[in-house]
Amino acid sequence: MSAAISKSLESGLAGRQLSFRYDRKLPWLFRGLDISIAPGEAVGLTGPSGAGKSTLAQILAGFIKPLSGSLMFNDKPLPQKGFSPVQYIYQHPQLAVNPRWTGGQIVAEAFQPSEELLDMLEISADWLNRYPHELSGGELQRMAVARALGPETKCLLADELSAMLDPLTQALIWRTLINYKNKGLSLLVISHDRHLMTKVCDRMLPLKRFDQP
Amino acid sequence: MAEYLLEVEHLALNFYRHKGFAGQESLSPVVDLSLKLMAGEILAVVGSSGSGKSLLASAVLGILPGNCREQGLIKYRGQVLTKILRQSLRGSDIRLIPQSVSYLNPLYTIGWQLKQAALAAGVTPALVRTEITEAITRYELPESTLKLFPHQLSGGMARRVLTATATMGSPRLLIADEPTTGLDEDLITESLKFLKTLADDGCGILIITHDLSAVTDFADYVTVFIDGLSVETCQTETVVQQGWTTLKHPYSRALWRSLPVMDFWDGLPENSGRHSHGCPFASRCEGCQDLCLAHHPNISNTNEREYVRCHF
Repeated sequence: MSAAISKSLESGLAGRQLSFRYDRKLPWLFRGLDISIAPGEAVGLTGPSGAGKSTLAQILAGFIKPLSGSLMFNDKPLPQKGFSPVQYIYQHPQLAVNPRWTGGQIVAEAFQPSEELLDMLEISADWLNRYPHELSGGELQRMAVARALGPETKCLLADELSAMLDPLTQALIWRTLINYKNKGLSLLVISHDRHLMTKVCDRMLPLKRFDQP
Repeated sequence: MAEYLLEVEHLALNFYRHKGFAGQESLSPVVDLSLKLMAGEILAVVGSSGSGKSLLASAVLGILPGNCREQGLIKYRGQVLTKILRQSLRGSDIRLIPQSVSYLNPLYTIGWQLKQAALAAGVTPALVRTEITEAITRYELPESTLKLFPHQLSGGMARRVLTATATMGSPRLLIADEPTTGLDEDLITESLKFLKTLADDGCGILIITHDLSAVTDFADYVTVFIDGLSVETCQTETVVQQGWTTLKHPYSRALWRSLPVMDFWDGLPENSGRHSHGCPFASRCEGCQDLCLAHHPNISNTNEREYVRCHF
């Protein structure tokens, strides 16, 4: 750990001097990028398609290792094993669930969500017996949200979370998430919907496309 | 009377699956859907998730799984769409822009998949190359995309590739299932504008979407679905000019009102928890009466195209 990082003691999720590109021949997605999300804060990540928004979120979730820079949660690196306090929700829920599991198995993968949480997200009991291909995108996405909102979750990375949802369900999910945010959950919001971002985010972080190799 | 390009009348879908040793149980995600589309028109289908929007697309293309039974009528240019007809029309006359990026084959490059789409669309082999180049420039995809595999694309790029595959050659009926999710605003306008030019050339377009704000600018009509029931069809022009309060069904009004640009979660209808055998919106409707819980409302037409399905 470098001296500069150990000096700044802060809670929440913090990425310092992050750089990443998929291949040496490809341009940088970002270089020396700093990002921090405090508990109870919602940060909006904006930028054109292909700018690296999802990649950055996956780095913050610990799915991808940055080529340089560090990632800290409450001044400690993310745990390598067990439940991570930082949870990532995919843009496409179909790709984030086991196709051979029923809805009930999917939502209870990490913890048993309370009836109250399922009600808040309006997940009806009979979806829990269905398999992913028998559920609509919006239904699956609500299950993915329920699955990620465990008691140990401190930070949620919402990658186009509500892009597949109708406006009513979208409003419902965001009301639930903002409820959790007010109790201290950190949020990173990726969305192309300007109006949604201004309603749910406390501040915005624009991500530009680096075009020089 | 003018001929409709696509007519769906009282479509119902039942899925059967085994239960126990010899038992069967059924699911009915689509109860009663009706819509009409003329050539050169854009019809938007909006509604709650799981309301059967994507199933409607699969039904028209004839790609529903084998355990599904269909009731009602689907007509294409006045002809009843039979199983064989659907098979011969899909990919050439009738195209789909699928919702999920998992429709791309993960084992082949984008270039190969675009080529197959062009050939299926009836593009002559000699012209395939130019057609592909045109398609990728239209969606601002770099030439290098052709060598990539689906997992190497961003969400927005994959969507553009799917759109490119469906718009090769000259489709007559295009079903776009959520064509705008995951795209930034410029690209949304760009791709909807392109759909508009297709419509101006005489192609009928069915857009299945959640993005009401985009719809109102481009579509001629909008049909609202809830839980497998089509509850309202109206002209978008009236909604644009006079606002969401002109909508007749309480569900359509709630849908518009909950847009982030409108009231968002402030206007969310509360769920009374009452079980309904009738109108699917009854448990959340302010004007709900006993009649709504007991019976499905029938369609009442305002004119030949516009209708509402509400007891009141």
